[in-house]
Amino acid sequence: MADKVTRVAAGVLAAAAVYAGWGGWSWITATGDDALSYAQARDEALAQGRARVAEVTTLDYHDVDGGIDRWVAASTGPLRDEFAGTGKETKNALRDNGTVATGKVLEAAISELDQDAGTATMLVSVEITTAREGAEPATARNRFTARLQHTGGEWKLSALNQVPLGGAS
Amino acid sequence: MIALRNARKHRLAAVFAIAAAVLIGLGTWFTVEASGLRSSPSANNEALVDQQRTAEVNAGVTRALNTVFSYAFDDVGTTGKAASEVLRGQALDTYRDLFARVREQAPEQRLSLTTQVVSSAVLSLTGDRATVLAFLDQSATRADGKPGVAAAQLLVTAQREGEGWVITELAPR
Repeated sequence: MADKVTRVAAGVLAAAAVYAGWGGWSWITATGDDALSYAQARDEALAQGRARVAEVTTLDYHDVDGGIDRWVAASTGPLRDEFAGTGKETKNALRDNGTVATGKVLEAAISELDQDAGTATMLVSVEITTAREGAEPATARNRFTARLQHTGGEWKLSALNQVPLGGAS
Repeated sequence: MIALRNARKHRLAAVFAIAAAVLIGLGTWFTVEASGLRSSPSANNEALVDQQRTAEVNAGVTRALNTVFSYAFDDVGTTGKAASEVLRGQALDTYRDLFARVREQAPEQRLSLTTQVVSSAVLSLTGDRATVLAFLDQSATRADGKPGVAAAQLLVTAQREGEGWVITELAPR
């Protein structure tokens, strides 16, 4: 016969086991919850999509090569090919242009998300400031539809299209 | 002999107690992780997760914006009435300030405005509150001049009211 102390300890141990089991189950179901994982993917796409759009709307003429490398790193698919194919002439023209363009995302929202395909569409409003030596910096607001692709554990831009005026169908 | 047996018994109790402490620690960790996942801002935001309600708020806001930001110079009353139906709070105040001038000038200048939401997306949907990013095209026509088209981007805060949604805040973006 076990003494009283051992019986009490065994009781506490059993209760602790139930508590741990319940906690573990709760964690497992939360991790496997489709709605939760979908919501997380949506917010991840939004946060990374915003950062990628800011990157590709920014270019400093002092460092055209570095800037275009960042464009290439931020994109995938056809957009990446387009950026990677930037020719010498275009680069020289960008250098000679003497402007520093800085894109800032004012607002963005995901309008579509296909978690299985790893694709998303994001509406994004961007303020682009263009500064040139000896001139007042100019700001312009642009609105884009960005296509995002989940690749290598990250969301990257596969297309960035300006939403035109009168583009409504 | 008895003392030795007691010590052995209590050693078993001590092992149980240590195991129990470890399990309580694990249980607490699991519970914290689970509730962290379930109560995160992502989890509370139903945008796109609840497809039907997302589509509903999107459609409601689109319809409201198209209506209140469109008017004909010979019928500003209709738009004013629509505004008081779908706008509340800050959105209604801002709109009234803006519209007071329109009401004066529109008939005189034969001014008409047509607004069309070209794209919109629900940024957040939590309970009875939603925020929607909307891209709009606004074309103004005067009887005497050429039509002018302008782009506008609005962040709209909407609140559920009865069966529909009303707009409580409008912020240019």
